[in-house]
Amino acid sequence: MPEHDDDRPPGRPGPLHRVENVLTYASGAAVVLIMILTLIDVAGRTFFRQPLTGTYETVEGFLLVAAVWLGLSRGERYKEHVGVDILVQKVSPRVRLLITAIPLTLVGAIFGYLAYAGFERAIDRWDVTTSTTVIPLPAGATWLVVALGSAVLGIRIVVDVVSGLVRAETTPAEAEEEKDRV
Amino acid sequence: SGTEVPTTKETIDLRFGDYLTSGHPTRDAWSEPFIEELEKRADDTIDINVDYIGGGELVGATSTYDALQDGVIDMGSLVSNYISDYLPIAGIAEVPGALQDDSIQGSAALIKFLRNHAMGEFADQNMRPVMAYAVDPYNLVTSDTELEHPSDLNGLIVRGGGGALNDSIQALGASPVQMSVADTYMSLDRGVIDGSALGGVSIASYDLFDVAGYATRNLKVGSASLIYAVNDDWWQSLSPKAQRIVEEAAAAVQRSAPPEVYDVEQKSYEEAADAGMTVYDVPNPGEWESAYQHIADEWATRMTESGKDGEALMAAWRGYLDDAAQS
Amino acid sequence: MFDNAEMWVPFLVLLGLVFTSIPVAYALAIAGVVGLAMAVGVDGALDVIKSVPVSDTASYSLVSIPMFILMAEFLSGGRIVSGLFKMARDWFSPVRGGLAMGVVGANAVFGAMSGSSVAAAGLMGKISVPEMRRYGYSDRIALGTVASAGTLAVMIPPSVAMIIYALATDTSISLLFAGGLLPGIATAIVYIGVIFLWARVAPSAVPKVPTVTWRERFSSLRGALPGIPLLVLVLGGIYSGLMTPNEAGAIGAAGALIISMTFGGLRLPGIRAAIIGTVSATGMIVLIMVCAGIFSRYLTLSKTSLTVVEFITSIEGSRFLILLAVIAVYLVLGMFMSMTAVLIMTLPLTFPIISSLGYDPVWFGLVVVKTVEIGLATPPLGMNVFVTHAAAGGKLSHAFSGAAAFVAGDFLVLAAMLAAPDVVVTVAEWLVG
Ligand code: NA
Ligand code: NA
Repeated sequence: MPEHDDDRPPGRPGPLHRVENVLTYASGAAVVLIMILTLIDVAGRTFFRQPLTGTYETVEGFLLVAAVWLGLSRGERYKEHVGVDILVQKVSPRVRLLITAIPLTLVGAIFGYLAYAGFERAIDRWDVTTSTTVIPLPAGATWLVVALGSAVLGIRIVVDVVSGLVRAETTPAEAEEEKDRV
Repeated sequence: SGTEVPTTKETIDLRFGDYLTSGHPTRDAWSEPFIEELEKRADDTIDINVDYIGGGELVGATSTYDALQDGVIDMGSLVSNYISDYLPIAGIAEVPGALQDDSIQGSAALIKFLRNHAMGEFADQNMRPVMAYAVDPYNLVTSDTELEHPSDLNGLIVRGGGGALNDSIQALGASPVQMSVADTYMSLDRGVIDGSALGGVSIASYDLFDVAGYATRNLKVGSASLIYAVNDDWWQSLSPKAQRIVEEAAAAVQRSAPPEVYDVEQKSYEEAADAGMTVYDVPNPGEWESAYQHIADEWATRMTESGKDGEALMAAWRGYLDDAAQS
Repeated sequence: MFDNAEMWVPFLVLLGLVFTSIPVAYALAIAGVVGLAMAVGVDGALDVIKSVPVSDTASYSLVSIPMFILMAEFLSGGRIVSGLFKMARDWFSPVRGGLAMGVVGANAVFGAMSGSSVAAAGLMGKISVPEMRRYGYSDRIALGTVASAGTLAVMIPPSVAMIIYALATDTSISLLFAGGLLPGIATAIVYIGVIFLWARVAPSAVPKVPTVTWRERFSSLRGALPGIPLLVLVLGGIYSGLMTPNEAGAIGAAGALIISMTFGGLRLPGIRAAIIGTVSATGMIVLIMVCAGIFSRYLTLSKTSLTVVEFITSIEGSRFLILLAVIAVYLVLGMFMSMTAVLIMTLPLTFPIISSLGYDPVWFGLVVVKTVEIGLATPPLGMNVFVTHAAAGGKLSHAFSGAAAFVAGDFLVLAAMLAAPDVVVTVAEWLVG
């Protein structure tokens, strides 16, 4: 597990950061593919009476899942996930860290479990091939995508908790600054 | 009371989840009667607790398979469309060109077929089929076109449920699109689609006569089946007596349900006609059936390629259909 | 009900966690797992959550979320959106709060074509909040307007919620659609009224726009011109029946890309940023839905919601009192669960009682949809507020307090529907003919 990932100077991201970047691009590619497949489907249907059969199944079963799950960890890195900000404004950053450390570790464990279960199922269903998608795909691919996304998200959550606690040991003010810089 | 309670009293706890909303004809004829049949078999030696969670509240049509495999539910109803990649043999009832005449005959043949040819396939997935409903062959609902010959479908966009049904729509010359039955109403209304392949029951359940003018009654464009299955771990945890009780309840519903849904289907057509829809027979159904006959052959070939004897399976299926038609 | 810990402990856990500032999605996941563990044991809970990520993400109806957000990102990445909003500001300049009123109007139109309030809030949050901020609107009113106006998609037909109600109760879909029109439009008008009053009461939240000359107004049309074909493509595509709303999102995104590259100065770095912005907002929104799905499974398996509904429906009292109690339950359930889950779970219990009391089924359907829809804009699980916040940033508390003003307007509409059931039903029947 990479330590002090966020302490690296900009331009030299740590391994977790690099994995997140790759997954984010894959997620972006899935979004673009949804757009393109739908475009081909609607244009084909409208102008040539020939839709792209399997668009619905491919988008729903694979691309949408990839678009959502592969990008989650990047959102966590930049603390984009929506939280309520009413009470915490009233406590010090150090107290806030201590309060959130346990639930966040628990969430990390939940995503870790989802990753484990996803990998297991991905392997189990890898040789089942879908017949309704635009091109035949292994049914396990959907589960692999969820497993990858949850694994990296779970690691990201735990890494941020640990590095936050380590920094809070030294100076809370710096830790807060550091957090904003990530 | 002073009577002795038998110390060996067994309990059947069944969590039964499906996607069927309350008032859905299939739920009325299959799911709920099964629970009644099961519960009335409770006695001094056996307690039966059924927790039924319908309406897709816990499991949807597509997620039932996973939930059943994981034991989140002990029993559920599998839609052939969504499972035929995982349980290919069980998908036979939806292959066009392998069709039964009606749901009564088809359901009798399907449960026999599953018991004799698909138990291994289900067991590999930690499941066991207990009841099977082969839906009446699908017909075509169209907005503004009365269909006589398959060529009338050229250039029309027709909703299919996916899978083999889309193949037969294509074989007839129309362009298949995939969407949920719930979206069909809006899409017909707005002209996104020109028609839909569906079971007759759906016409009344979804008020489709509001938005479409025509419905065929004698086509067999495709079909679907609903297989009620139990989790195999749950099944193995039951005593032989409890297993027998579950099988008896299933057998009773397997006899009573098909005629009941068949009636609902006929009433759906009557309701559609009363609402001003043109409900009609195409003049020459044979010319339609020959258009998608090759799909059944392809299914058999695919099966054979994956190591099962496709020809033998198809022959067995047709044999059970004949048996059912005789009786 | 309260002697059973599994019916309230998870709620306490949820509320406690939400206040620690951890993301709402995470709070839902933990509370859901705790509740499931109490209801079906730890192993059972793990089995239940195993498939939730796939089953609750792989749903075609969600496609409209990334596609409409992508369209918004492409548009805002170039100069097209600012052109459109400058035009709106110039033309509505005599009215204080005119821009926000325009956003309500745009949502009514968008609501009329899409059934997804989340897609509406995502699209408008991305596009209009930054513009309202630029013109000096406070975050409360900007976020509140978008979060609330997004709910118009549920009430103004077509609406997936109404179809689900129709299926569950065997009510006519056409009558429900026709019946939704009047309360839907009334809601839009009331929202405009809320903005008008807001501008009166707190003028600092709503900027005074200097009145512009007619010459300036017409010249502002030029900047908005490239956006017009896109509106025609998306709205026209849906109304003419060429495409479904989901598809229109994708086509709209492609159109927005082309128009923004041609007229709006959008280049590769902007395109890259737009795609990453879409990934980010989509992930946030769907993750909340997936985690709410975990919590919802706890509510189902523990029979918590069912117990509450059974309790309410067993109340003995006057006809109207029972109706009010049922509405109160829908209000609370709407705060915690998705519209679909609420309708499917409760209607088998509430509908027979309400019909036996002699209430009109179409009218009751509209009342239920309106009530649950209010939950989309209230804490703790105001999906539309989350989505708006995810798309536009700012403080979540501002978004919720801003939406509260509009929720007050919602109650006004709901009260009118309760007071005059005949009007709603008569209009629906007249429209269907
Ligand atoms: Na709508
Ligand atoms: Na809410």
